[in-house]
Amino acid sequence: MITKLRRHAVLPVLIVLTTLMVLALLISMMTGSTPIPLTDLLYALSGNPSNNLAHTVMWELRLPRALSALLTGAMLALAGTLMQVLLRNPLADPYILGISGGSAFGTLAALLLGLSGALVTGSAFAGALLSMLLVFALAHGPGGWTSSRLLLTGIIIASGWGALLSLMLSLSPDQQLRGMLFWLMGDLGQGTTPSWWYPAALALALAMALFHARDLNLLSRGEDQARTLGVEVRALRYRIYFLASLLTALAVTLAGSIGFIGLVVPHMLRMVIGSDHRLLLPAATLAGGTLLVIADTLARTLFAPQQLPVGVLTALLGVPLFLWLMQRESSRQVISR
Amino acid sequence: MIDLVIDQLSVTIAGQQVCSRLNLHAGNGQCWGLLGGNGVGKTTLLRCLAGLLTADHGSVQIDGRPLAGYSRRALATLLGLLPQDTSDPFPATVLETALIGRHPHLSRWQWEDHRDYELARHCLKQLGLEHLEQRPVSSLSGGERRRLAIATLLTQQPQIALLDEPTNHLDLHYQILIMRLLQQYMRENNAMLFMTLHDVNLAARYCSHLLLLYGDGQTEHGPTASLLTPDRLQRLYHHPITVVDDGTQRIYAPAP
Repeated sequence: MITKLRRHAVLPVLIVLTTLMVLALLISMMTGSTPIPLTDLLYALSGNPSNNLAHTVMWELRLPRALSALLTGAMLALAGTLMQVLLRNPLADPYILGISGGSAFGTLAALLLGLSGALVTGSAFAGALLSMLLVFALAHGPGGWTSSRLLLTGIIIASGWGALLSLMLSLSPDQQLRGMLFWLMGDLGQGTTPSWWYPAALALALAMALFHARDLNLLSRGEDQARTLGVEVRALRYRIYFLASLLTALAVTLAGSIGFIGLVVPHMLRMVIGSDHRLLLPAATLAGGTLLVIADTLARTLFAPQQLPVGVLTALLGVPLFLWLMQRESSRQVISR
Repeated sequence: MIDLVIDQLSVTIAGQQVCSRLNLHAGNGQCWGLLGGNGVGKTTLLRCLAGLLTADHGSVQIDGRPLAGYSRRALATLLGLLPQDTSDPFPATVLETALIGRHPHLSRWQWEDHRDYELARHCLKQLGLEHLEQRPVSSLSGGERRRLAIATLLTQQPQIALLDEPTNHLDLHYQILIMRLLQQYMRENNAMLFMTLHDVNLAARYCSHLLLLYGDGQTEHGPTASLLTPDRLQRLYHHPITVVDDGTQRIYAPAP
């Protein structure tokens, strides 16, 4: 029998996903209240200001926003993939251990104090780190970590943050409430260009995750199995925890808590391309970014000039997509039985 | 050649003494059966031999070096474990699952090549799973999953195979097939087997040596023939045992 080696499936999948990503970026930059035809867009991209309006709209508004969406989606999907392996639970998402709660608390506290700009971002990141360290310290039992203990600790801390957030919202003055709610739902409307170290951090995180890709395949089968097949499980889990948490913290400071991407993208990809993390990790990174770019384009054009929080759109898109895939998967299994 | 030495090993789990100052020396071509009642610590002892648990006292050594002196990766090229139960929360195919046994033999960025695939397919075939290789593991029956776990262990090609109830979930035909297959694997690879078993008759037929765990920290070990006596088995299982000998084989059965 001619063997189709698994590594031969990697390149085609990544090429398709990269193409989709580029298409999504182009469409996102062409559409909006001022449509930009492709030719003008390419001129503007090449730095040639032949059409001044297109140039300004693209460089000052749409490109920064599209890049923010791309990076946020990519980081969330990568973090979600890692979190699902860490907890051995396909229902885990990047926020499940309370990272977003911590950073939301940081943001809302900063907004309440009347801070703005980098101070809000810094406060959000500090909140996320605080939550990460809190869960890390509290999840240690006598015999080290177990998935269930980590999950329970994270969920409890997350609900604690939830209660604090509700408290803050109920005490906030009315004129700040709308901004706060938008932030909580996930919003890319701030329009700042993400600084260069966001993509650098993403690339570094992806490289580190890929370094452990085969270890992750084993860890998803269970701790004993992974250890007897040669994985230093404890060190690996700490690394994944910090990697996923930092990615989530960065994503949250860029765009607030955008739900669903980190849960649905890895899960959907597992159904389609399987659970080999050597392919899954880069694929999820690409697909997560693409999906959020599409969702954000819809969010700002569907009811223009009214803008929707993109987090609402990701859920509206993700829910039917997810249900359809699940349906398809279960009917396929019934047939093959 | 490989040898495994258990040196002054004392293990307790949840207040229960599994073994106390146990000394044992095992070599190539030996098939050890670990027998004992429910909850005496057979799995615990096996996990100790795999280096997954640290003992209260004493050590386990392979080729003169204690397990703690090996990296997990180096150890995984020598020693493999068949866990009592496997679970797969994420979708994977049968072939992919067998292939994870190659992990310790591949370097960091290396992918499985044709030889790895051939070996995995060969092991699946030996366990009668070759027609299922593209099936999702979640669609397999309990017995098929058990055979797949054994195929994964054989794909790992360890010199020391630790098996926690290898015949769990298997029908009579596959129980015998797997015991024979493991014997064959042992001979061809000059390997060493340790298995926990609940079936005294399988142990009598296939194990060259036994380690009896009485549950109070007392243990006995040695060649199978010298240890399989009705009074020992009664002490082991807290139930009288009758031996039926029909001239071709001896059957150990619980007394009515």
